[in-house]
Amino acid sequence: MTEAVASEAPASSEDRMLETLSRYGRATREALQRYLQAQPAAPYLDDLIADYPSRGGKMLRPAICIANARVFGGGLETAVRCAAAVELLHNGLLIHDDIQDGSAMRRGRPTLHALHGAALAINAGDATIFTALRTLVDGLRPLGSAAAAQVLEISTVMARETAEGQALELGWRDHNVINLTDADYFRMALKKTAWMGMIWPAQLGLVVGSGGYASPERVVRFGYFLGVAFQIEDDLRNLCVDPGYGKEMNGDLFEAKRTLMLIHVHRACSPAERARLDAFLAQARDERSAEDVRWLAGLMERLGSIRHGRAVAAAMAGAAAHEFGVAYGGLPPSPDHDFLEGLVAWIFERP
Amino acid sequence: MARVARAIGPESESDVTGKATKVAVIGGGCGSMAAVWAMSGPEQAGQFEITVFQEGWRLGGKGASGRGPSGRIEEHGLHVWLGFYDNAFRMMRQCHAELAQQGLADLYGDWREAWTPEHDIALYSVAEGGGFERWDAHMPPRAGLPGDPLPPGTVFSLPYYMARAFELFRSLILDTTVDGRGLGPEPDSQGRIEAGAALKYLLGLGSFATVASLAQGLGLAAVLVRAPGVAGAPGLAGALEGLCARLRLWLEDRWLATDRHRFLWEVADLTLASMVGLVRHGVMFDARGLDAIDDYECRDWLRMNGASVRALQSPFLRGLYDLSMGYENGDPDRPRLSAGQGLRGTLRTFFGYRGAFMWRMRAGMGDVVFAPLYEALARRGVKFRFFHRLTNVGLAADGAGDAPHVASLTFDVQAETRSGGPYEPFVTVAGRPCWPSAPDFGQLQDGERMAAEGWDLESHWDRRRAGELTLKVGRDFDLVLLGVGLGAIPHVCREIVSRDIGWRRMTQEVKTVASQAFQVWLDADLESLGWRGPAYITGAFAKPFDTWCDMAHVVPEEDWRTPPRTSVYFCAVLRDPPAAPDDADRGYPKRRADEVRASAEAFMEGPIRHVWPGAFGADGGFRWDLLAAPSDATSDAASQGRARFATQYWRANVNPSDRYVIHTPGSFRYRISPLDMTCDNLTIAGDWTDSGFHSGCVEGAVMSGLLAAHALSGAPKLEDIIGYDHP
Amino acid sequence: MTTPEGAPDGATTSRGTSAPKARVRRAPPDRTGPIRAAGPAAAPSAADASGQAAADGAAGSSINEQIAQAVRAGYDVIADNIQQGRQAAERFRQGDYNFRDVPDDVQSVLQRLIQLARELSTTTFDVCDRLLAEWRPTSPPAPPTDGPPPFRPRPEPKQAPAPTAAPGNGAGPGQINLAVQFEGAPDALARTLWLDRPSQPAEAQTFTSTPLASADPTAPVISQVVFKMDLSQGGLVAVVTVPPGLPTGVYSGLVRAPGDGVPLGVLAVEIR
Repeated sequence: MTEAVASEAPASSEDRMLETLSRYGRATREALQRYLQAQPAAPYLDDLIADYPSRGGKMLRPAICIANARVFGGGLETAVRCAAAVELLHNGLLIHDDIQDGSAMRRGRPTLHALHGAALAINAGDATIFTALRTLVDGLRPLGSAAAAQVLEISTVMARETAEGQALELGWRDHNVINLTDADYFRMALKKTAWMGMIWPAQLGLVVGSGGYASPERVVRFGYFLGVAFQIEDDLRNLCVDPGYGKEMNGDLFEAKRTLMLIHVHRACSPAERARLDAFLAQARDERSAEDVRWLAGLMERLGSIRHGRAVAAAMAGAAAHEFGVAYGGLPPSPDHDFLEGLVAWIFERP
Repeated sequence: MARVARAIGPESESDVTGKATKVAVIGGGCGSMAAVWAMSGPEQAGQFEITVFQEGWRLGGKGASGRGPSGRIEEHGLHVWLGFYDNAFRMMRQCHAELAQQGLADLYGDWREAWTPEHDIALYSVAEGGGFERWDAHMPPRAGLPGDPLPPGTVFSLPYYMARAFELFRSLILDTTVDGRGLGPEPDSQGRIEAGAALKYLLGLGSFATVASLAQGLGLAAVLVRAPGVAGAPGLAGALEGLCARLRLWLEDRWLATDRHRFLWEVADLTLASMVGLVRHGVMFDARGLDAIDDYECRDWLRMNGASVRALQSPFLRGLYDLSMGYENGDPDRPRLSAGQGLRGTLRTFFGYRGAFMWRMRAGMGDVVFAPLYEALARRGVKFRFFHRLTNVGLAADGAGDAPHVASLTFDVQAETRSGGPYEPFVTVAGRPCWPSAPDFGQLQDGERMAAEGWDLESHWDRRRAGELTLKVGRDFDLVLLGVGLGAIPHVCREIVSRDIGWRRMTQEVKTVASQAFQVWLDADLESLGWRGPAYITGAFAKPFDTWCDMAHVVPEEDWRTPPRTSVYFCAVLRDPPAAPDDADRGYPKRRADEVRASAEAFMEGPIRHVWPGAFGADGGFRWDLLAAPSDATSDAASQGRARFATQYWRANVNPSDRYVIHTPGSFRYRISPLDMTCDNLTIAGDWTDSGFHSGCVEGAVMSGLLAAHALSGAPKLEDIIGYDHP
Repeated sequence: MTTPEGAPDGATTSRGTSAPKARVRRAPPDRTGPIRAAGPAAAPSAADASGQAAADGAAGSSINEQIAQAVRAGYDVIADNIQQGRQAAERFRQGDYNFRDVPDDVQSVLQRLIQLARELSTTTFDVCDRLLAEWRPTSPPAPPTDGPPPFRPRPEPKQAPAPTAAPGNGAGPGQINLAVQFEGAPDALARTLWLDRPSQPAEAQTFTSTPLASADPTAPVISQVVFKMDLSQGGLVAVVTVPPGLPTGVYSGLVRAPGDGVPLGVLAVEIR
């Protein structure tokens, strides 16, 4: 299936990635709009559902879905509905995440519950998820029952894993669990973010593109390592770089979010430092002072937790590159193939 | 006629892509078509420009079928697809889906219309005390459908098979009947079985099943448990044998005093011998898998491992040999099948099927398989050149400084179309596109003369042609996929065979047999002739036609003015003459065909008596009037008596390319894989290659084609060929 | 896979292309044969993969053992997750049969029966599987000098199978070995080593014994004798439950199979 391409070849690999993300993002948004504007707007609901999708967003997950579909032999039209479902589901979960985290800002504007109150926001989040399912079912119709059954199966798995991951993270926070290992972190990141963010979109694309003939298990390892690396990099950026979008700097530290760096610093600090750290972790969020947060950030820097995080992220990316070859190695070269391969570097190169 | 050497150029300037790799595919059988399907798929993004060269007027090779008078289906023999043909079914399901997407759903239908599940087989063979006895086996349905992706983590391993063996063994006990009397509670008039009675029966029978399974499991376990570690290993085999012998004594004669259970014991006996053999020969841990025992003959190997004489003569085993035509030179007194492939084939056939054990086709294999494939491939842009018969694969001169490769391909151009455009191969019968039994001479230049002179464009012995064509590497093709039958290789690959010892040994050691078949159409159905259903296919029957099949379901697909009630196909191996026929012996095919006809007529008067008693008149003679003659003028519909057989269909498959490949002990090492690099621009496809599954069947050919596609394009991945990595 | 390479034999040019086309060659495949090793398919070993991945990821810097450990942990986590997923899927699939063409009642009966059979056979196999893992192969026996007889071309008289000498208790043809298990009498000794075969097919559980009595008519009898098949003990097993405090002596009874008038033998045990 050919498309009109820009007359000049994009200059750098970063430009090519951005161009692909932009193109697939546009197609997904168009499909999304069709669903969001389907009927007369229900009051207190449809505007809320349309809010997050309208705030922009990198559209990375839908692009992964579409690229996988094309690489396995499918076309843009069939894949775009699934991509829309992916984006809708992501947005629905963001609404709930923001409430659970108590966040004030999302993508440069107040969070949905900050604007409308928790009750309406929760309702809108649920409705978004149902809309995502409806979009998915519509995307399944031309596929035939075997492929549709596969899609439902992998989505059920993803839903289960995501719920388990969220429960893990919340449980660690609420019960102040502190003796965690790197493996615990990987498991949580796998369940909470990698399944929904990387593995499932790729599997959807694979099933839709191959008409149900390729095995969804094929892309699990690649999606896992990619997702974990992305998550660690996100956590690193939260610590070190102004994340823009009006997110708070070091917000994760205020949260005492169990990142790889926090796990490391807890392992590496002296008994005196650990006592102070444990006290910090035992506090409620609003009890924690900016001074303590600054101390913690400095501790991480000094004890090499940041360095450790970077190295592990790089290693996970390396594993992702290896798994890319295993999963996609037999497929012929194409721009979508390059895009998926480029995701490994994109972890670190993205703006 | 003038010899015309032409170069194939591009049809027009715009066809010169310059980027796509040109592939010349020779032969249109299962192997080639599977390869072409894989290489022309959308994920290959037009990387290959493929042209298929086919002798004669139809695709299919050994799987080709035609339509004769009254639109009747005329096949090479009996074609049944088994439920483990995952790669073949996957291809056909994709093909049907693609055609449906292109709006041809009405014409070709859903794949489930083309194939229907079949669970029942019958073995009908000579009984010990004289006469015949019949086994009906109902193979239970299993989860899924053939061609479904395998559940992740599926591993083909011998312990996996052993577990499946028990499942099936128990189901067989529940379902199998001998001479119509059930072993378990009988269903009532509405086909229901009382659950309590069934369970009670199972528990009562459980001791038999338990004992037999314990013999296999605990026999091994007991000995292993007693022996302290590895040191006792040499004694263990002996003790194992002793245990099994004791078990046999216990069960034989006493337990099996009644005939009803005997066949079950024969199956159990063979299973027991196989498992003993797998353990003793260390196959479970051998990196070569079942190839480790492939030098043994199958029955020899079973006997070595304790199978009883009776089990070795059982119709069950005979049926397996008949189905694979495992008789050297086609001689029924020389059964030769390798133990490794014998076991591999049996394991996959019985324990690897999905959905149903067997799937029968709605019509001839050409109509059901090769017509939709041709249609879909043509729409994908694959080109077909009918009437091109390969005569030589020319290698580059030795020592030219380049690796050995194919430099030229020479064809006899048997005919050319009048219009100069492509030949349209189909006729429409009962609303569907079909391959005819003879070319449409009307489309061909000099067609009337060819028809009048009786040109047989599929016969090895009829070399008449309209011209010659030579293709050159680089200009006309880049890569070659050789999908001809094994029997043709010595004729068309003389250069490779003379230069390469591997190819030479292959032509000597990989054996083929000829086959014979006939089809009758009857004005009465088999029930009324005395053959009770529901079994659709019957094997292990009398020689020479040991396998036959009730094909009533295809009659509506034909075009009879007055349709007969049923159609029955017979097929078997055909013995070779002591000396190979000369290439100039034009009359050879007709002589053998006459032989087949005479055998068939004698068969109808002889062994058929046992299965269709109602087909014989009061005088004891076969009621030849039952044979339904076609409604057109091609045969004498009024003929009487034995002469009426001339209105039916028979054939001797003696063309070298039509010979059926068998797998004799030790021959596996002489097979050549499509992945082989003897020539770096050539690959091969067909059931005669080293496809991993060395059986002359559709699935072996399709796997071979997928390997050929991998050899040329890197796709599909070898791990994606279902069953390739397999003990 | 194909790669165009230079062709020294000067391939001819086709009309319409601007440059001479190099001869296309196949690339050698990674492997040229199936993987036949019986047993679980070789999944990429986590250790190998993590080593490779760590090398890729660390990109030039020395491979820190801590990082390597982290990558190994990463591989373990996903392997575990995948395995759990497969097990859950398999459990789900176990009950899923495709019975499209079988009537409903028969379906459910068959399904229950097959399930029952599977439960029984799986246990056997678990045992075998573990034990076979410890098995070391012996060298295969030499092939017999004469092959098996041909498939029966015409009816032949029934051939009596040659009885094989059975090692063990010395039971001859027409007899079965008997092993005796005692409950409640560790010093008891079995005096009977074999019994006659029953004349009709019979299951071990249906064998009966008259109460085992001693020569002393006042002594109590052993009435609890059950029979079963157990190949690990050689075949037929009689389980004799000895009442406590039984006087020493030899106790015997007649063993019968159902439908047989003539007893199969005398079961004699010695209590010490």
